[in-house]
Amino acid sequence: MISKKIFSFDGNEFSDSFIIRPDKKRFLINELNSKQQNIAMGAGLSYALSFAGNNVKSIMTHLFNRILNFDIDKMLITVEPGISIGDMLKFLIEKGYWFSVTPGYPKITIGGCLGNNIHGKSQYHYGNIIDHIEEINLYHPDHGEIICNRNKNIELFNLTIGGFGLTGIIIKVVLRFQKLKGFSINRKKIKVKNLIETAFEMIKLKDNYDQIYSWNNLNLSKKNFGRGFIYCESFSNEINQKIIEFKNLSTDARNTFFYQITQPISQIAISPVFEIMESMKKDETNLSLLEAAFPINGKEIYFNSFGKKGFREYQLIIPFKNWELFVQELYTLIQKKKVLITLSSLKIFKGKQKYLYFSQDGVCLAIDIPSNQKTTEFFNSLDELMKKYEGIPNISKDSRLTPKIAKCYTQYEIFKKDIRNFDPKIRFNSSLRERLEI
Amino acid sequence: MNRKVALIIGASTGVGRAISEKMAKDGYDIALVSSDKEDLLPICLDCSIKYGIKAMEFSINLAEQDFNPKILLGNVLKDFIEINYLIYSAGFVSENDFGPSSDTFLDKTIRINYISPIKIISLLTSEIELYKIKSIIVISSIAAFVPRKRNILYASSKAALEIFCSGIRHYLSDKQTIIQIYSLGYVDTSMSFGKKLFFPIISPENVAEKIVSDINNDFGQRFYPSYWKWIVGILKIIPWFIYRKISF
Repeated sequence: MISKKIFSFDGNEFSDSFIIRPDKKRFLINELNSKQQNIAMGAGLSYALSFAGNNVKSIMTHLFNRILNFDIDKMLITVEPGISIGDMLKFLIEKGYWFSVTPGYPKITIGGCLGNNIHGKSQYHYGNIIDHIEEINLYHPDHGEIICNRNKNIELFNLTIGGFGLTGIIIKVVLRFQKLKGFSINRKKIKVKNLIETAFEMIKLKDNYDQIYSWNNLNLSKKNFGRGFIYCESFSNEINQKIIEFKNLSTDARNTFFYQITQPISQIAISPVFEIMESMKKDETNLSLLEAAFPINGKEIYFNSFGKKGFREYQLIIPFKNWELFVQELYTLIQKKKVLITLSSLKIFKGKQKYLYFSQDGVCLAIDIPSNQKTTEFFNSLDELMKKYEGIPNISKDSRLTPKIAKCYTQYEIFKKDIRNFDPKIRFNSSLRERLEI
Repeated sequence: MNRKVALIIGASTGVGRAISEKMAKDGYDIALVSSDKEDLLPICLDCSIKYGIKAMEFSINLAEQDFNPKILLGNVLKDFIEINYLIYSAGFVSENDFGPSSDTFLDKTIRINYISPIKIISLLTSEIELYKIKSIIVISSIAAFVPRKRNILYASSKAALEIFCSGIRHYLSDKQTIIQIYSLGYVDTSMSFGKKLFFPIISPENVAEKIVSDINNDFGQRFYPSYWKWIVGILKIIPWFIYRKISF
């Protein structure tokens, strides 16, 4: 066991924690049964510190990364929680199958995906990861190993997926995969004039493609506010076997002298340079399946460019009916606070709220900003705007959120009560849990 | 199709697990041995699902006084026609292995690191035709070359094993079977996790890559990474009045 200061991936939340890396199941169980509070740690790439806490023992799961069953007839794959989404998808693709809900980065573990109930690049089409999970085996020192699925222990199933690791350690997961609809992905780029138009176009186009998302520049004046591109992706029969190497992403990489001195300039340059480069590219490109699945892989320099201070991300869903008014006020707020936005993207969402799942009908906006005092003030004002327009924030993306804002989720109190009922001794704890007073 | 068969002892974690996965990836059938059945089964499932090879697990306690290699090898031969490669990667080191030894872990250390492997190697090499053994690879440690106050029993057991293997290599010099001894430097395993060490730590996958790629070469003994040859050489010529003050 080592003691270490652990940072959230955005670099803003940290804790003095302990880390252990069991390599045998009995060591894992022994650690879980000890008196110290625990929390599972996958790749350690969560933007909020859900994988560590002060004096909490973070249990690394990445050596539990095996495929335990592969059932083509039932289209089910059973894996251990430490397998990375990239490795699992690579395996499925080689066999002619696909898994639709993938985060942008391949090294994120399946356990991490479940704990945050992640959505992929096109939540409208495929939902959240919970919609693709058949069963989980969960271990909690006070309850033992429990099998949870939609017929057995469904409450615990729903509480664990999207439960930020607070119900215990996932021992294995059964996921449902799909047949591949093509050998590669065609990506069509459509230029859009502003943020309001982007969402309306995406709503219009969404049923014609397999995935749809956008990139927008929010550092422009009113008429052009949110000018950018919509990316419409469909499976293609064109063979594209470009091999991609899964790169390493970490908070340590951006602590170098080079990124400290280049940070101010690179942050200003990111959006305009990206826009120019994208404008010069063809409107239609063909991508290998893995390239399309993990667009951030190979672009680690983006995160490194924030330097030691890191960045902040705000991701929210605004109901369709409120989108236009929300964007108008967002523009005013950005102008007033004079913040520099390095990345902004839209997705279309559909679904119902349950516990703290990031899911409801509406437009999802993600914003990245270099971390500083101005950012915090801007995000605090954005909290109020989001509440005014009946939005919800993504708890796993923002290490700043308070219980007051988490209450935008109508089931926040129910989630809190259910977690406390299941784990009254608080055997599982994290900085996120403490901060949100769960 | 007849695939070559590798018997990997100490396969549930670390270097043994990495070798198992690498051999499966390269198309070998694998017979995995460890004391923890519940840790071997996931590796067997994973390797057979990913690479379409045959993988079987055999749970055995190498620390037992009455450990009988005939039973183990007999069981392996029930599932596989022959055993072409033996990789002995099992090892045991106690945190209490410091200074004079106590009975509690003395037996276990010597059995796992010395007695059990020589029993297995002796049986395999005395019946080469039966098992069709081609290479025997023994994973040792640089600790065997530079005795120090910590891990004395472990180091001396491994040193004894190395001497035994070198002798067997000479005995087999007119046969087709080869013996390889790897003296490993710092490897990223549960033993080294989180420790601040003076020299770089290499991954078990890196070690596995090297071992499997050279599995048919008759080189005898090798340090890996190779720079340990120089480090060990320097440590060996350090005068006692300096060596006694070094803490490592």
